[in-house]
Amino acid sequence: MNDTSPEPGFEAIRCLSVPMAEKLIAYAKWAAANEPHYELLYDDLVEQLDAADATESAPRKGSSLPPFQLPDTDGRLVQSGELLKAGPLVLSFNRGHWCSYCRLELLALEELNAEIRQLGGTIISITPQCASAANKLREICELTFPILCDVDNAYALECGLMMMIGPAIDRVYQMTGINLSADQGNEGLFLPIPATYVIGQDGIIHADYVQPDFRTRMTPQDILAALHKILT
Amino acid sequence: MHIPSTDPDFDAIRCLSVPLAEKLHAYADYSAKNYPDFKLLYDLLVAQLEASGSTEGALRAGASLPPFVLPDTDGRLINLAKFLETGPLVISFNRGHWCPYCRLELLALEEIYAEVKGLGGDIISITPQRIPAANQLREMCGLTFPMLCDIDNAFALECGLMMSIGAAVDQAYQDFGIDLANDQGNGGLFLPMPATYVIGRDGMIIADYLHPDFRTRMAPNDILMSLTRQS
Repeated sequence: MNDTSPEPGFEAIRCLSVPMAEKLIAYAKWAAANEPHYELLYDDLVEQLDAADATESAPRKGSSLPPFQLPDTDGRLVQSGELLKAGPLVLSFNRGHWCSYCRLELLALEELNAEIRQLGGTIISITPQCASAANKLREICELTFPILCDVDNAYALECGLMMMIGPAIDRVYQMTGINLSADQGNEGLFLPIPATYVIGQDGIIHADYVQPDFRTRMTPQDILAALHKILT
Repeated sequence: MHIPSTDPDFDAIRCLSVPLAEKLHAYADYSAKNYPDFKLLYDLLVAQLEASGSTEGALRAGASLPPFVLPDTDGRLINLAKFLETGPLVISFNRGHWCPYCRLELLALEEIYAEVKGLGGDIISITPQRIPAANQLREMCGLTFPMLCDIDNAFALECGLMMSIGAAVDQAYQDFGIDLANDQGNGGLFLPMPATYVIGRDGMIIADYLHPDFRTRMAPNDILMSLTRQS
Protein backbone atom coordinates (compact mmCIF):
# COMPACT_ATOMS: atom_id res chain seq x y z
CA MET A 1 0.00 0.00 0.00
CA ASN A 2 3.06 2.20 -0.11
CA ASP A 3 4.09 4.49 -2.92
CA THR A 4 7.25 2.48 -3.33
CA SER A 5 6.91 -0.98 -4.83
CA PRO A 6 7.94 -3.73 -4.48
CA GLU A 7 6.25 -4.44 -1.21
CA PRO A 8 6.84 -8.00 0.09
CA GLY A 9 3.19 -8.76 0.84
CA PHE A 10 2.10 -7.50 -2.54
CA GLU A 11 4.90 -9.24 -4.43
CA ALA A 12 4.16 -12.61 -2.82
CA ILE A 13 0.47 -12.30 -3.71
CA ARG A 14 1.15 -11.06 -7.22
CA CYS A 15 3.17 -14.22 -7.92
CA LEU A 16 0.55 -16.69 -6.66
CA SER A 17 -0.71 -19.08 -9.34
CA VAL A 18 -4.35 -18.31 -8.73
CA PRO A 19 -6.99 -16.27 -10.59
CA MET A 20 -7.09 -12.53 -10.08
CA ALA A 21 -10.20 -12.67 -7.87
CA GLU A 22 -8.31 -14.85 -5.39
CA LYS A 23 -5.30 -12.56 -5.45
CA LEU A 24 -7.56 -9.61 -4.65
CA ILE A 25 -9.04 -11.52 -1.71
CA ALA A 26 -5.58 -12.59 -0.56
CA TYR A 27 -4.37 -9.00 -0.70
CA ALA A 28 -7.45 -7.74 1.17
CA LYS A 29 -6.77 -10.33 3.88
CA TRP A 30 -3.10 -9.43 4.01
CA ALA A 31 -4.00 -5.75 4.29
CA ALA A 32 -6.57 -6.46 7.01
CA ALA A 33 -3.89 -8.26 9.03
CA ASN A 34 -1.07 -5.80 8.39
CA GLU A 35 -2.82 -2.50 7.88
CA PRO A 36 -6.04 -2.87 9.91
CA HIS A 37 -6.70 0.89 9.89
CA TYR A 38 -7.13 0.67 6.13
CA GLU A 39 -9.61 -2.17 6.34
CA LEU A 40 -11.77 -0.26 8.81
CA LEU A 41 -11.70 2.92 6.76
CA TYR A 42 -12.30 1.10 3.48
CA ASP A 43 -15.18 -0.93 4.94
CA ASP A 44 -16.69 2.28 6.22
CA LEU A 45 -16.29 4.03 2.87
CA VAL A 46 -17.84 1.11 0.98
CA GLU A 47 -20.76 1.13 3.41
CA GLN A 48 -21.26 4.84 2.78
CA LEU A 49 -21.09 4.35 -0.98
CA ASP A 50 -23.64 1.56 -0.72
CA ALA A 51 -25.97 3.60 1.46
CA ALA A 52 -25.73 6.59 -0.87
CA ASP A 53 -26.35 4.44 -3.99
CA ALA A 54 -23.14 5.94 -5.29
CA THR A 55 -23.07 3.76 -8.40
CA GLU A 56 -26.71 4.36 -9.31
CA SER A 57 -26.10 6.78 -12.17
CA ALA A 58 -23.20 4.86 -13.71
CA PRO A 59 -23.83 3.49 -17.20
CA ARG A 60 -24.71 -0.20 -17.22
CA LYS A 61 -25.06 -3.06 -19.64
CA GLY A 62 -27.37 -1.99 -22.46
CA SER A 63 -26.66 1.74 -22.27
CA SER A 64 -24.18 3.48 -24.52
CA LEU A 65 -20.81 4.64 -23.29
CA PRO A 66 -20.42 8.44 -23.29
CA PRO A 67 -17.82 9.26 -25.94
CA PHE A 68 -14.43 10.47 -24.73
CA GLN A 69 -11.33 12.20 -26.02
CA LEU A 70 -8.45 11.92 -23.56
CA PRO A 71 -4.65 12.04 -23.81
CA ASP A 72 -2.52 8.97 -23.27
CA THR A 73 0.72 9.19 -21.28
CA ASP A 74 2.55 10.52 -24.37
CA GLY A 75 0.04 13.35 -24.82
CA ARG A 76 -1.59 11.75 -27.84
CA LEU A 77 -5.34 12.40 -27.92
CA VAL A 78 -7.32 9.16 -28.02
CA GLN A 79 -10.98 9.11 -29.08
CA SER A 80 -13.41 6.37 -28.12
CA GLY A 81 -14.97 6.59 -31.60
CA GLU A 82 -11.64 5.85 -33.26
CA LEU A 83 -10.98 2.91 -30.93
CA LEU A 84 -14.42 1.43 -31.58
CA LYS A 85 -13.88 1.60 -35.35
CA ALA A 86 -11.16 -1.00 -34.87
CA GLY A 87 -13.08 -3.36 -32.59
CA PRO A 88 -14.66 -3.82 -29.17
CA LEU A 89 -13.23 -2.05 -26.17
CA VAL A 90 -12.38 -3.11 -22.64
CA LEU A 91 -12.40 -0.02 -20.45
CA SER A 92 -10.98 -0.19 -16.95
CA PHE A 93 -11.22 2.77 -14.60
CA ASN A 94 -8.30 2.73 -12.19
CA ARG A 95 -7.23 4.69 -9.16
CA GLY A 96 -3.46 4.97 -9.39
CA HIS A 97 -0.05 3.36 -9.15
CA TRP A 98 -0.29 3.36 -5.36
CA CYS A 99 -3.39 1.09 -5.35
CA SER A 100 -2.50 -2.58 -4.96
CA TYR A 101 -5.92 -3.71 -6.18
CA CYS A 102 -5.53 -1.69 -9.38
CA ARG A 103 -2.08 -3.14 -9.92
CA LEU A 104 -3.34 -6.69 -9.51
CA GLU A 105 -6.18 -5.96 -11.92
CA LEU A 106 -3.93 -4.30 -14.51
CA LEU A 107 -1.41 -7.15 -14.31
CA ALA A 108 -4.27 -9.56 -15.05
CA LEU A 109 -5.47 -7.39 -17.95
CA GLU A 110 -1.96 -7.30 -19.39
CA GLU A 111 -1.95 -11.10 -19.33
CA LEU A 112 -5.13 -10.99 -21.45
CA ASN A 113 -3.89 -8.33 -23.82
CA ALA A 114 -2.55 -10.62 -26.55
CA GLU A 115 -5.75 -12.65 -26.60
CA ILE A 116 -7.92 -9.54 -26.70
CA ARG A 117 -5.83 -8.03 -29.50
CA GLN A 118 -6.29 -11.26 -31.41
CA LEU A 119 -10.05 -10.87 -31.04
CA GLY A 120 -9.68 -7.38 -32.55
CA GLY A 121 -10.29 -5.67 -29.21
CA THR A 122 -8.44 -2.99 -27.29
CA ILE A 123 -7.86 -2.52 -23.58
CA ILE A 124 -7.76 1.00 -22.16
CA SER A 125 -7.23 2.06 -18.57
CA ILE A 126 -8.40 5.49 -17.44
CA THR A 127 -6.96 7.08 -14.30
CA PRO A 128 -7.14 10.53 -12.73
CA GLN A 129 -3.35 10.61 -12.47
CA CYS A 130 -1.04 13.10 -14.17
CA ALA A 131 0.96 11.65 -17.05
CA SER A 132 4.13 11.10 -15.00
CA ALA A 133 2.31 9.12 -12.26
CA ALA A 134 0.29 7.23 -14.88
CA ASN A 135 3.56 6.35 -16.60
CA LYS A 136 4.81 4.97 -13.30
CA LEU A 137 1.76 2.70 -13.15
CA ARG A 138 2.39 1.55 -16.72
CA GLU A 139 5.99 0.75 -15.85
CA ILE A 140 5.22 -1.02 -12.56
CA CYS A 141 2.75 -3.30 -14.34
CA GLU A 142 4.70 -3.37 -17.63
CA LEU A 143 1.55 -2.48 -19.52
CA THR A 144 1.56 -2.54 -23.29
CA PHE A 145 -1.93 -1.02 -23.57
CA PRO A 146 -2.53 2.70 -23.05
CA ILE A 147 -3.48 4.52 -19.88
CA LEU A 148 -5.49 7.65 -20.54
CA CYS A 149 -5.24 10.66 -18.24
CA ASP A 150 -8.60 11.86 -16.93
CA VAL A 151 -7.22 14.74 -14.90
CA ASP A 152 -9.79 16.08 -12.41
CA ASN A 153 -12.00 13.03 -13.11
CA ALA A 154 -14.01 14.89 -15.74
CA TYR A 155 -14.87 11.73 -17.67
CA ALA A 156 -15.39 9.61 -14.54
CA LEU A 157 -17.85 12.26 -13.37
CA GLU A 158 -19.67 12.08 -16.71
CA CYS A 159 -19.93 8.31 -16.18
CA GLY A 160 -21.24 8.75 -12.63
CA LEU A 161 -18.13 7.06 -11.25
CA MET A 162 -16.50 9.82 -9.26
CA MET A 163 -16.37 9.38 -5.51
CA MET A 164 -15.06 11.43 -2.64
CA ILE A 165 -12.54 9.69 -0.42
CA GLY A 166 -13.42 11.69 2.70
CA PRO A 167 -11.11 13.34 5.24
CA ALA A 168 -10.19 10.16 7.18
CA ILE A 169 -8.85 8.26 4.16
CA ASP A 170 -7.25 11.43 2.84
CA ARG A 171 -5.40 11.73 6.13
CA VAL A 172 -4.29 8.07 6.16
CA TYR A 173 -3.12 8.27 2.53
CA GLN A 174 -1.01 11.28 3.43
CA MET A 175 0.40 9.55 6.50
CA THR A 176 1.42 6.48 4.49
CA GLY A 177 3.11 8.53 1.78
CA ILE A 178 0.36 8.31 -0.83
CA ASN A 179 0.29 11.78 -2.31
CA LEU A 180 -2.89 11.98 -4.36
CA SER A 181 -2.55 15.72 -4.61
CA ALA A 182 0.81 15.53 -6.42
CA ASP A 183 -0.20 12.47 -8.45
CA GLN A 184 -3.43 14.06 -9.66
CA GLY A 185 -2.34 17.70 -9.91
CA ASN A 186 -5.25 18.88 -7.76
CA GLU A 187 -6.40 18.59 -4.14
CA GLY A 188 -6.56 14.84 -4.52
CA LEU A 189 -9.85 14.35 -2.72
CA PHE A 190 -11.59 12.36 -5.45
CA LEU A 191 -11.11 8.99 -7.08
CA PRO A 192 -13.04 7.05 -9.70
CA ILE A 193 -14.94 3.94 -8.70
CA PRO A 194 -12.78 1.37 -10.52
CA ALA A 195 -15.47 0.08 -12.87
CA THR A 196 -14.81 -2.14 -15.89
CA TYR A 197 -16.84 -2.07 -19.10
CA VAL A 198 -16.84 -4.20 -22.22
CA ILE A 199 -18.15 -2.12 -25.12
CA GLY A 200 -19.23 -3.30 -28.56
CA GLN A 201 -18.38 -1.48 -31.78
CA ASP A 202 -21.84 0.10 -31.67
CA GLY A 203 -20.77 1.90 -28.49
CA ILE A 204 -23.18 -0.15 -26.37
CA ILE A 205 -21.98 -1.57 -23.08
CA HIS A 206 -22.24 -5.36 -23.27
CA ALA A 207 -20.88 -6.11 -19.80
CA ASP A 208 -20.24 -3.96 -16.76
CA TYR A 209 -18.67 -4.34 -13.38
CA VAL A 210 -19.49 -1.47 -11.07
CA GLN A 211 -19.01 -2.34 -7.41
CA PRO A 212 -18.93 0.10 -4.52
CA ASP A 213 -16.33 -2.22 -2.98
CA PHE A 214 -13.34 -1.13 -4.99
CA ARG A 215 -11.32 -4.10 -3.71
CA THR A 216 -13.11 -6.38 -6.16
CA ARG A 217 -12.80 -6.21 -9.93
CA MET A 218 -14.29 -7.78 -13.07
CA THR A 219 -12.70 -11.15 -13.67
CA PRO A 220 -10.68 -11.76 -16.84
CA GLN A 221 -12.94 -14.73 -17.63
CA ASP A 222 -16.02 -12.49 -17.60
CA ILE A 223 -14.25 -9.99 -19.86
CA LEU A 224 -13.32 -12.68 -22.36
CA ALA A 225 -16.79 -14.23 -22.22
CA ALA A 226 -18.35 -10.83 -22.97
CA LEU A 227 -15.98 -10.24 -25.88
CA HIS A 228 -16.71 -13.65 -27.35
CA LYS A 229 -20.44 -12.98 -27.06
CA ILE A 230 -20.05 -9.64 -28.85
CA LEU A 231 -18.09 -11.26 -31.64
CA THR A 232 -20.45 -14.16 -32.29
CA MET B 1 23.22 21.81 -30.85
CA HIS B 2 23.69 19.12 -28.29
CA ILE B 3 20.93 17.57 -26.21
CA PRO B 4 22.58 17.70 -22.79
CA SER B 5 21.58 20.88 -21.01
CA THR B 6 25.18 21.35 -19.92
CA ASP B 7 26.62 22.28 -23.30
CA PRO B 8 29.24 24.78 -22.04
CA ASP B 9 29.03 26.98 -25.13
CA PHE B 10 25.26 27.06 -25.02
CA ASP B 11 25.42 27.98 -21.35
CA ALA B 12 27.96 30.75 -22.00
CA ILE B 13 25.66 32.25 -24.66
CA ARG B 14 22.57 31.77 -22.51
CA CYS B 15 24.21 33.82 -19.76
CA LEU B 16 25.23 36.80 -21.94
CA SER B 17 23.62 40.06 -20.85
CA VAL B 18 22.21 40.79 -24.29
CA PRO B 19 18.72 40.63 -25.83
CA LEU B 20 17.35 37.36 -27.21
CA ALA B 21 18.04 38.33 -30.84
CA GLU B 22 21.74 38.73 -30.10
CA LYS B 23 21.92 35.45 -28.23
CA LEU B 24 20.32 33.70 -31.19
CA HIS B 25 22.90 35.35 -33.46
CA ALA B 26 25.71 34.35 -31.14
CA TYR B 27 24.54 30.77 -31.11
CA ALA B 28 24.15 30.67 -34.90
CA ASP B 29 27.73 32.03 -35.21
CA TYR B 30 29.04 29.51 -32.72
CA SER B 31 27.20 26.70 -34.50
CA ALA B 32 28.45 27.80 -37.93
CA LYS B 33 32.01 27.58 -36.67
CA ASN B 34 31.71 24.31 -34.78
CA TYR B 35 29.07 22.48 -36.79
CA PRO B 36 29.55 23.80 -40.33
CA ASP B 37 27.59 20.86 -41.76
CA PHE B 38 24.53 21.89 -39.80
CA LYS B 39 24.85 25.46 -41.00
CA LEU B 40 24.93 24.31 -44.62
CA LEU B 41 21.96 22.01 -44.15
CA TYR B 42 19.98 24.63 -42.27
CA ASP B 43 20.78 27.36 -44.82
CA LEU B 44 19.67 25.00 -47.56
CA LEU B 45 16.46 24.09 -45.73
CA VAL B 46 15.67 27.77 -45.11
CA ALA B 47 16.31 28.55 -48.80
CA GLN B 48 13.94 25.74 -49.76
CA LEU B 49 11.28 26.98 -47.35
CA GLU B 50 11.62 30.46 -48.82
CA ALA B 51 11.56 29.26 -52.42
CA SER B 52 8.48 27.13 -51.87
CA GLY B 53 6.56 29.91 -50.13
CA SER B 54 6.10 27.60 -47.18
CA THR B 55 4.97 30.36 -44.83
CA GLU B 56 2.30 31.60 -47.24
CA GLY B 57 -0.36 29.26 -45.86
CA ALA B 58 0.42 30.18 -42.27
CA LEU B 59 -1.92 32.21 -40.11
CA ARG B 60 -0.99 35.89 -39.79
CA ALA B 61 -2.07 38.90 -37.77
CA GLY B 62 -5.70 39.71 -38.52
CA ALA B 63 -6.75 36.07 -38.84
CA SER B 64 -8.44 34.26 -36.00
CA LEU B 65 -6.70 31.34 -34.38
CA PRO B 66 -8.52 28.00 -34.79
CA PRO B 67 -9.78 26.73 -31.44
CA PHE B 68 -7.80 23.90 -29.90
CA VAL B 69 -7.91 21.40 -27.06
CA LEU B 70 -4.47 19.96 -26.33
CA PRO B 71 -2.98 18.22 -23.28
CA ASP B 72 -0.30 19.85 -21.18
CA THR B 73 2.61 17.82 -19.82
CA ASP B 74 0.42 16.53 -16.95
CA GLY B 75 -2.20 15.25 -19.37
CA ARG B 76 -4.63 18.03 -18.47
CA LEU B 77 -6.69 19.13 -21.46
CA ILE B 78 -6.21 22.82 -22.17
CA ASN B 79 -8.84 24.70 -24.08
CA LEU B 80 -7.93 27.89 -25.97
CA ALA B 81 -11.27 29.48 -25.10
CA LYS B 82 -10.61 29.00 -21.36
CA PHE B 83 -7.36 30.93 -21.68
CA LEU B 84 -8.94 33.77 -23.62
CA GLU B 85 -11.62 34.18 -20.93
CA THR B 86 -8.99 35.71 -18.68
CA GLY B 87 -6.84 37.68 -21.10
CA PRO B 88 -4.64 37.74 -24.20
CA LEU B 89 -2.37 34.81 -24.92
CA VAL B 90 1.16 34.45 -26.27
CA ILE B 91 1.58 31.20 -28.20
CA SER B 92 5.04 30.02 -29.10
CA PHE B 93 5.43 27.03 -31.41
CA ASN B 94 8.61 25.19 -30.53
CA ARG B 95 10.58 22.31 -31.96
CA GLY B 96 11.95 20.42 -29.00
CA HIS B 97 14.36 20.19 -26.09
CA TRP B 98 17.22 19.43 -28.50
CA CYS B 99 16.88 22.81 -30.27
CA PRO B 100 19.13 25.52 -28.75
CA TYR B 101 17.22 28.29 -30.55
CA CYS B 102 13.99 27.11 -28.92
CA ARG B 103 15.69 26.92 -25.55
CA LEU B 104 17.02 30.47 -25.85
CA GLU B 105 13.57 31.68 -26.90
CA LEU B 106 11.79 29.84 -24.07
CA LEU B 107 14.29 31.13 -21.49
CA ALA B 108 13.55 34.67 -22.72
CA LEU B 109 9.80 34.03 -22.55
CA GLU B 110 10.16 32.77 -18.98
CA GLU B 111 11.96 36.01 -18.12
CA ILE B 112 8.99 38.11 -19.28
CA TYR B 113 6.35 35.73 -17.91
CA ALA B 114 5.69 37.75 -14.73
CA GLU B 115 5.29 40.91 -16.79
CA VAL B 116 2.96 39.17 -19.24
CA LYS B 117 0.87 37.94 -16.30
CA GLY B 118 0.91 41.48 -14.92
CA LEU B 119 -0.68 42.62 -18.18
CA GLY B 120 -3.42 40.02 -17.69
CA GLY B 121 -1.94 37.72 -20.32
CA ASP B 122 -0.48 34.24 -20.37
CA ILE B 123 2.09 32.25 -22.32
CA ILE B 124 1.96 28.73 -23.70
CA SER B 125 4.41 26.79 -25.80
CA ILE B 126 3.22 24.13 -28.25
CA THR B 127 5.59 21.36 -29.35
CA PRO B 128 5.21 18.08 -31.26
CA GLN B 129 7.07 16.23 -28.50
CA ARG B 130 5.69 13.44 -26.35
CA ILE B 131 5.08 14.30 -22.70
CA PRO B 132 8.42 12.97 -21.36
CA ALA B 133 10.49 14.96 -23.90
CA ALA B 134 8.31 18.06 -23.46
CA ASN B 135 8.81 17.76 -19.71
CA GLN B 136 12.56 17.66 -20.28
CA LEU B 137 12.33 20.93 -22.21
CA ARG B 138 10.27 22.51 -19.45
CA GLU B 139 12.81 21.42 -16.86
CA MET B 140 15.86 22.48 -18.86
CA CYS B 141 14.42 25.99 -19.21
CA GLY B 142 12.83 26.17 -15.74
CA LEU B 143 9.51 27.04 -17.36
CA THR B 144 6.55 27.93 -15.18
CA PHE B 145 4.11 28.39 -18.08
CA PRO B 146 2.42 25.39 -19.72
CA MET B 147 3.72 23.42 -22.64
CA LEU B 148 1.11 21.68 -24.76
CA CYS B 149 1.69 18.46 -26.69
CA ASP B 150 0.67 18.64 -30.33
CA ILE B 151 1.50 15.06 -31.27
CA ASP B 152 1.82 14.52 -35.02
CA ASN B 153 1.65 18.32 -35.48
CA ALA B 154 -2.11 18.24 -35.95
CA PHE B 155 -2.62 21.82 -34.69
CA ALA B 156 0.56 23.14 -36.36
CA LEU B 157 -0.80 21.76 -39.63
CA GLU B 158 -4.09 23.55 -39.06
CA CYS B 159 -2.14 26.80 -38.56
CA GLY B 160 -0.14 26.16 -41.75
CA LEU B 161 3.09 25.77 -39.78
CA MET B 162 4.12 22.19 -40.40
CA MET B 163 7.26 21.60 -42.38
CA SER B 164 9.12 18.53 -43.58
CA ILE B 165 12.74 18.46 -42.43
CA GLY B 166 13.90 16.45 -45.45
CA ALA B 167 16.17 13.44 -45.68
CA ALA B 168 19.48 15.29 -45.19
CA VAL B 169 18.53 17.07 -41.97
CA ASP B 170 16.87 13.87 -40.73
CA GLN B 171 20.14 12.00 -41.25
CA ALA B 172 22.20 14.76 -39.62
CA TYR B 173 19.90 14.77 -36.56
CA GLN B 174 20.24 11.01 -36.24
CA ASP B 175 24.04 11.18 -36.59
CA PHE B 176 24.01 13.82 -33.89
CA GLY B 177 21.93 11.75 -31.48
CA ILE B 178 18.79 13.83 -31.91
CA ASP B 179 16.07 11.20 -31.94
CA LEU B 180 12.96 12.95 -33.26
CA ALA B 181 11.19 9.62 -33.84
CA ASN B 182 11.43 8.73 -30.16
CA ASP B 183 10.78 12.28 -28.92
CA GLN B 184 7.69 12.65 -31.09
CA GLY B 185 6.40 9.07 -31.08
CA ASN B 186 6.14 8.91 -34.86
CA GLY B 187 8.43 8.90 -37.92
CA GLY B 188 9.92 12.19 -36.72
CA LEU B 189 10.09 13.75 -40.19
CA PHE B 190 8.11 16.88 -39.44
CA LEU B 191 8.55 19.93 -37.26
CA PRO B 192 6.50 23.05 -36.74
CA MET B 193 7.88 26.35 -37.99
CA PRO B 194 8.56 28.02 -34.64
CA ALA B 195 6.09 30.88 -35.06
CA THR B 196 5.02 33.17 -32.24
CA TYR B 197 1.54 34.65 -32.04
CA VAL B 198 -0.09 37.12 -29.70
CA ILE B 199 -3.81 36.38 -29.51
CA GLY B 200 -6.42 38.88 -28.35
CA ARG B 201 -9.34 37.87 -26.18
CA ASP B 202 -11.57 37.72 -29.27
CA GLY B 203 -9.35 34.97 -30.65
CA MET B 204 -7.82 37.25 -33.31
CA ILE B 205 -4.07 37.18 -33.89
CA ILE B 206 -2.88 40.69 -33.03
CA ALA B 207 0.82 40.11 -33.70
CA ASP B 208 2.75 37.38 -35.45
CA TYR B 209 6.32 36.37 -36.01
CA LEU B 210 6.96 33.80 -38.66
CA HIS B 211 10.19 33.54 -40.56
CA PRO B 212 11.41 30.68 -42.75
CA ASP B 213 14.71 31.00 -40.88
CA PHE B 214 13.81 29.15 -37.71
CA ARG B 215 16.98 30.47 -36.05
CA THR B 216 15.28 33.82 -35.48
CA ARG B 217 12.39 34.41 -33.07
CA MET B 218 10.00 37.15 -32.01
CA ALA B 219 11.66 39.68 -29.72
CA PRO B 220 10.27 39.74 -26.15
CA ASN B 221 9.92 43.52 -26.49
CA ASP B 222 7.65 43.13 -29.50
CA ILE B 223 5.51 40.67 -27.54
CA LEU B 224 5.23 43.05 -24.60
CA MET B 225 4.44 45.97 -26.88
CA SER B 226 1.59 44.18 -28.62
CA LEU B 227 0.20 43.11 -25.24
CA THR B 228 0.42 46.67 -23.91
CA ARG B 229 -1.38 47.99 -26.98
CA GLN B 230 -4.07 45.36 -26.42
CA SER B 231 -4.73 46.28 -22.78
